[in-house]
Amino acid sequence: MTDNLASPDIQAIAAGLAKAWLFLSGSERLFIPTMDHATTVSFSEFSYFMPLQFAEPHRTGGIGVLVDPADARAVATHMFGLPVEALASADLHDACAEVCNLFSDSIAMHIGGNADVQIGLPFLADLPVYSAITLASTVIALYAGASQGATTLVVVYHPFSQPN
Amino acid sequence: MSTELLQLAQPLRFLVVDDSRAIQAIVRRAIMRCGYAPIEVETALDGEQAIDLVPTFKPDLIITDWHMPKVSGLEMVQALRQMGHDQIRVGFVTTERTPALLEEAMSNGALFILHKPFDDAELVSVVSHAVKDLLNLSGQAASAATPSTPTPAPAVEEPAPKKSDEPLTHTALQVLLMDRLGNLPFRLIPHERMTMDKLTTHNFLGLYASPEHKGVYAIAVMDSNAVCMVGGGAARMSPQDVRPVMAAGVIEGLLMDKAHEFLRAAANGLTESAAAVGTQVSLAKTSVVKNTFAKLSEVLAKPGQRSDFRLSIPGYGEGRMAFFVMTP
Repeated sequence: MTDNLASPDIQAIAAGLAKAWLFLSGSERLFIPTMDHATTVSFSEFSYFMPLQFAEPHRTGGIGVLVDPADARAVATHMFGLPVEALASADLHDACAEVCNLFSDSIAMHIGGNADVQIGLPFLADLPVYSAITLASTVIALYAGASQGATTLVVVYHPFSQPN
Repeated sequence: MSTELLQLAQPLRFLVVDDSRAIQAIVRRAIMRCGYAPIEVETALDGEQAIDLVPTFKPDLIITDWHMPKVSGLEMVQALRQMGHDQIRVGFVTTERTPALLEEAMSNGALFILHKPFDDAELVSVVSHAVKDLLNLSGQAASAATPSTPTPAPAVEEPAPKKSDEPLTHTALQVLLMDRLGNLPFRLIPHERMTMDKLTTHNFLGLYASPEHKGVYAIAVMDSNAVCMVGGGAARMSPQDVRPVMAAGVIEGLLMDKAHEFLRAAANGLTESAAAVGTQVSLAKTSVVKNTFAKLSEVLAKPGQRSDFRLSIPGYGEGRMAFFVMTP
């Protein structure tokens, strides 16, 4: 597991994120790994968190997905097949939870090595919760997908620093 | 997928179970694209809701997520089986990839496990396959309901087959693999172009002939991984037994025999998609060739009619195959 965490297959992860985004939004987008962790990661109204459980050596980790509000509307429009005017806030959150779900899967399959990685259920992290997560965690990777002024971020948190 | 609706004698009932209403909407649209009428689609947000709905809604097929609050998809299937609902068909649309869990789902009668993200065509394909025999049952029911008609029209009207631009359509290969692999979950990704650098050292070549055409009508190329996966899956070998053969990259014995049978069966798909009506395609010969075989680079570089696929089977790995029509 450690080897994969130290040197995950970044290209495969980025490709998986792009593929998931195409499914979720119907549009193509590149997700580029960036090292600008400290300045780029910030809370979003559509911030979701996915807990990860590594079977061996029984540690936890997590994936944060911070969806730009414009992207939230685009994804919900595509997934529900409805114009944005017809969508409620709950619809946007529903779609963003699925973004978190698929993005987490795309990453989990490349960072577990030979160990099983169980992904949990995505949950909306409000500001206090997200702040607590970021304070207690170390960012090991950050992927940014930007288009037309909207940026959605995917943050991989170090499994050893996540509280159980 | 279909532009014409298959008119059924009685509605097909689908129950979509997912804690995401957005995914429910996607699955519902894919069901609509299967081209059946009438259909009824009901939704549930978790396994518990679904279990409550089953006695009254009586679904023909449940399409369910795996990870959900309260009662998971697998727990729901197990509960339904324990409650005596053995006849209800179930398929999973999920991100779950743990081989042991997928096998457990299959042992509980799951007909398919489709991994997200998926192409709409993939979902349409597995759903169509899962309810295929129910369409026939509906047809019998319709015939029985109209005894005064001397020659009752079939309740299920198959649309006229549409010739595809591809030698072997994604749907045709998906159905063929389901037939060969039985309950083994797999994912078939279309349009992933086979190129020389992606070939394995040894590869399996199938040459197809047609009486209507001189020379080779079509060529199939399977890399050694695809041979091992299709062959091993068809032979019901365990992933643990297949993986060493894949690693060795050899094509021989039972796995090669099963791959030969697979390519022979693929001739039907080539026949169905042939541009000229009446073309009958059959497998003439198979052989193992190295990736240095000069003819291979010509075939792989060939423009025109070709179908390229990547096959992924949890626990086994990934392989590639492609089909090329050689006649103008």
